[in-house]
Amino acid sequence: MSKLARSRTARWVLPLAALTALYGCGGGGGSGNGGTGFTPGVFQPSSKFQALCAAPRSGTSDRPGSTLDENNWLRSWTHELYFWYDEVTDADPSLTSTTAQYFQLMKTMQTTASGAPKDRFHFTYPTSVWDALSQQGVEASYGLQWEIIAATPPRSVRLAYLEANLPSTTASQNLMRGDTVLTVDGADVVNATDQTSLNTINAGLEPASANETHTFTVQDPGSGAIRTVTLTSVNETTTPVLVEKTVTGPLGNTVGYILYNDQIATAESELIAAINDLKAKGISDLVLDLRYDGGGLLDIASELGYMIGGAQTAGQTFELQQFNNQYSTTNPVTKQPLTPTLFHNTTQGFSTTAGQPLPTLNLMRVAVITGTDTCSASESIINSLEGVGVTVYQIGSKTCGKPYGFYPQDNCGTTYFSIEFQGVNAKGFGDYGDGFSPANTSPAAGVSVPGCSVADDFDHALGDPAEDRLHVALAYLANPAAATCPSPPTGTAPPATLTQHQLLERIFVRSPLRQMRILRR
Amino acid sequence: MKHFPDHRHPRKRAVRRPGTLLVFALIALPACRAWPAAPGHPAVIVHASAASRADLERAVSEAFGGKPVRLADDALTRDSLLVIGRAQARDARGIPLNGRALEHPRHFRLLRRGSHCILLHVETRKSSVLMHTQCRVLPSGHSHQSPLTLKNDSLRPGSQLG
Repeated sequence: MSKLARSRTARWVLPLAALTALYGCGGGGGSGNGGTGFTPGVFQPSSKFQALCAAPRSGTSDRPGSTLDENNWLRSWTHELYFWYDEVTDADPSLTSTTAQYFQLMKTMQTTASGAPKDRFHFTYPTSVWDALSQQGVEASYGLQWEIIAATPPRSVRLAYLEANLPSTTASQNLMRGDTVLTVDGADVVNATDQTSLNTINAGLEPASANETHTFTVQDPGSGAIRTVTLTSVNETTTPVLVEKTVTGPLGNTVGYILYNDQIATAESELIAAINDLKAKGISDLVLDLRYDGGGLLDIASELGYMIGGAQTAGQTFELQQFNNQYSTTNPVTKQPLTPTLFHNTTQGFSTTAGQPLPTLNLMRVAVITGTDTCSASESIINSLEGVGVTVYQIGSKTCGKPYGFYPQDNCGTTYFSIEFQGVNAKGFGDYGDGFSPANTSPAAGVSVPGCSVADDFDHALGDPAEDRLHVALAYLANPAAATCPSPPTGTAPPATLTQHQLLERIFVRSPLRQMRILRR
Repeated sequence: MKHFPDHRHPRKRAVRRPGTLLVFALIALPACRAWPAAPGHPAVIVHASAASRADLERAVSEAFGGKPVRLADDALTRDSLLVIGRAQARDARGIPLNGRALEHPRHFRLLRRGSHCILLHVETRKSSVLMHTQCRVLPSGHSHQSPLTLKNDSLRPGSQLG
């Protein structure tokens, strides 16, 4: 046999062997109380395997079972509810020794138009952590948010914004947006490559609990002065609407600006107060800054949509959940008929009295500032307003691309997140898995939205009309028909030393519960 | 049909059934510090201390079957409303896992009744006395004093969307 023929044969034999291993060895799947033999394409109800656990938890509904039972549950549950269930290879549950390994097989391996994995949101959480409770908006923190511009050497970690009246904003610390972190507890943030230093840096950037004290060397953005600050974490209460103000546009008109960072329950009352204030001041346009808004409560996103669009949104679909093609009329988890979430024109009672009329600006257009952290319910504001004819201008950079949602499911102490639905707007559109991008983004990425690509400007405060993204937003609103985008005043561009890989690794840091660490060698 | 206890006319009820109320209070207070639905005026904590924080944390935790709960050090010191939900879990990029959440949080209201500070769980109408806490009635016109009408579908297993 020639080399070429052998090569061709190998090309067929190896995958066949793999398939044989996966499918042919089935039949041994029986185990525990619910185990059955594996037959490709034949699925038992997931309920048959639910709570059959290799290590049952005391005081729960867990029953003695095996890893195979847990894998069988994953296989059936995925087939029932996973959004792309028909793109999942039907792997034999007996061929992986852990449920973690098997779970990684239970997703689509296809890619989006950009070449990115179609499913970037497939993960697990310990149920005990997922079920933990908290006062809304409270996290162990210094009262600031870091942004990691580059996670690998030469690293760049800068301060994105500060909360008010917290350790980081006291006069003695005097931290400011744009501060660059050089060391954490003596470890070199920019160049360190040893694991001990990385552990020190990560622990300092992300305090796990209140009353942790860490020392930072920071460099101020303007003067370049280097100084040392010591911060002690507290159980911080975040302010979701951190800035609300008016600025004067290039045409002399009054423009509202809202920096909206967190879609949590307490945001409801803050948004209402902000909109009432801007309405009273007679603004003609609004710049909504979502660059650090990773999403949250969808009903509050809907309320904000109404408070912007008003009459244009009345009675219209904000978002409709679409499940896999086995469920066209009924939500398979709640068993309720599939009905859309409408634009709410009354309060939903998150942090206000429910049922009260919401104020509205009745705008037919809005400029939205975005970044890679703009995600999920935050993106749905853009998509849903566009769906009812409110013009959205996008200033900043590509959003994260998460039109999807989950019903997290606990089994045997692990909570599984598998995408189960896609949110679509009033036009039935929800295909923005590659995110939304300003129209002049180069190279083009995701769904194009009228607007301008502008890098984050750490040299100015958020809400300062001289801040690049806000400056361009104001100029664009003054003349959206212009052939080219207005130039930002400082022309801030991503640092030239960063590779494309590093740019993709821009990470926004604010998680005491995060499972993975943020800086790498 | 099951009815929630009437919070609106406590004196009337006490007059009608003083014996019942007294007996219940004597039994309930030493056992679990819980009173049946308690009326009162919206209040905030004053002179917050480690003891008052532990008091509050214990009362909220008990409302959720003993689950641990993270509270701000200044919880209920500026507002009578306390909103409790799932702790914000985020992915490696800092983005909330539940980026499309349909789950409604739970609400607690601090009330002052006589010399007692009482924590009312708005959705269940259950209340408990904060034994080691001092509080003062909020002046009228405070933004969050009005009674809440809230959805009661929060924290059901499987109700959280991501």
